[in-house]
Amino acid sequence: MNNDINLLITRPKKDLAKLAKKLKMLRMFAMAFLFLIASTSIILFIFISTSPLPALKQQENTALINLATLHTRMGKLLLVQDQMKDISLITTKRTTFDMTYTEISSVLPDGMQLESFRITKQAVSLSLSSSALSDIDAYLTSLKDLAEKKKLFSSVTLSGFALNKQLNKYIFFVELATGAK
Amino acid sequence: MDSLDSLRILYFRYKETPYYSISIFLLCLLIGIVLIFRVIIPQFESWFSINTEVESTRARIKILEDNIRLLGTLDDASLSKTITITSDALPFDKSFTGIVDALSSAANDASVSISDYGFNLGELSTPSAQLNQFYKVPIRITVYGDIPTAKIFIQKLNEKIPLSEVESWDGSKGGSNISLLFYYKGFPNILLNDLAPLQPISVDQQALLEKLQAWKPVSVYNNETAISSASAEEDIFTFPF
Repeated sequence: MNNDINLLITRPKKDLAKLAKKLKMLRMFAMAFLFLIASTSIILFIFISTSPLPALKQQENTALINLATLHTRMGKLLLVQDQMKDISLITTKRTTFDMTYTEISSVLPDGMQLESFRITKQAVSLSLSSSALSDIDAYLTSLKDLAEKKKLFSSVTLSGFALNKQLNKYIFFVELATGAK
Repeated sequence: MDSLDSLRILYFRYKETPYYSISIFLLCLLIGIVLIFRVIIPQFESWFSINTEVESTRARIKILEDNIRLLGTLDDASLSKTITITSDALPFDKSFTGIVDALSSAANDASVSISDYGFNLGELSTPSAQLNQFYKVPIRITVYGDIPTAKIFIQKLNEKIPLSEVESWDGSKGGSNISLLFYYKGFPNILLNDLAPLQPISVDQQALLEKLQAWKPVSVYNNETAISSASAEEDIFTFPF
C-alpha cells in the first residue's frame, strides 16, 4: 500500500514515543499534585484535631477558679503594693530641711552668727551677724562652693546689709534660691 | 440519552489522543488550585491561629499559676498586719490622733516642747476625688528651743508615722515656727486582674516596712488608737471581691 493515499499525517515512531512519555509524565504530575493536596489536608486536619487547646482552656478555667478563692488575699497584696509605692515616693522625695540647715551652718565662719533663717522648698533666707566684714566674703564664697559642688542652690544673693551700732555688728541678709518649683 | 451517547462517543473518539490526557491534567490542576484556596489555606490559617492561641493560653496559665503560687505563700494575718502598718504611715483619711502622736513623740525624742498647734482641715474633697491622690493636712507648730534642737525635732519627725514633710522652717535662737504637711490618701481603687502578674513584696519594700514599723510612735491616746485601729482593720479587710 502506498503511503501517499493515507489521509492521516503520519509521525515517526520516535516522536510518538516521546509524546507518550510526556503525556505519562503529565498524568503522573497531576496525580502527585492531587495526592500532595489531599495528604496536606489530612495532616493539617490531624494537627488541628489533636491540638492541646481544649485541654489548656480547661486548665486555664481551673486555674481561674482556684485564683478566685484567693481574691481577698490578692486585694490585700495589691493594696500593700499600692501603699508601699506611695510611701516610697514620699520618703524619697520629701524635703530634708535639717540637711539644708546642716550644710549652711557648717560653713559659717567662726566670728559669724546665724540670727534667723527661713527655709522653704524654693528658697533659703538667712539673717547673719558678724563684727568683721571679711566674714561675709568668706561665707558667700563658701556658699558659692556649696552651690557648685553639691548643687544645693541655684543662686546666692546678698540681699541686704546693715550696721547695728549698739552691738557694733554688721547684719547681713542672704537669699539662696534652690531652683525647686 | 443523546447527550450521554455524545459524551461516550467523544470519550472513545479522544481517549487515545493527547487531548484527553491534557484535559485530565488541566482538570486535576484546576481542582488542585481550587482545593488549595478553599481548603488548604483556611486549614493553615486555622492551624496557625490555634497555635497562637495555644501559646497565649500557656502564657496565661503560667501567670495564673505563678499568681496562685505567690498568693499561696502569703499569710492572711501577715498581710493584714502589713496593711495596718502602711495605713498608719499613709492613712486613708485624716488621722488627727496619729498626727498628735507623731508630733508628741518627735518632741519627746528631741526633748523640746511644742505648742500653738494650728490644724488646717484643708479642702474637704469628695471620696471619689480622693482616689489615687495624695492629700495633705497642713499644720503649723512652734518649737521652743535653739535651732539644733529644732533640727533634731525635724529629724525625729521624719522618722515618725503618719508620714509628714516640712514645708517651711522659720528658725531663730528663741524657737522655730515649722509648717508641716501630713500625708494621707483615699482608699485606692484596686482592680483585680487575674492575668496581671503579681509581684511579691520586694526586699526594699520589706526593709521600708520594717522602718515604718519602727517609726510608729507610742500613742498618747492608747485606748482611742486601739479602737480606731480595730475599726480601721474591719473596714480595710472587707474587700468587695
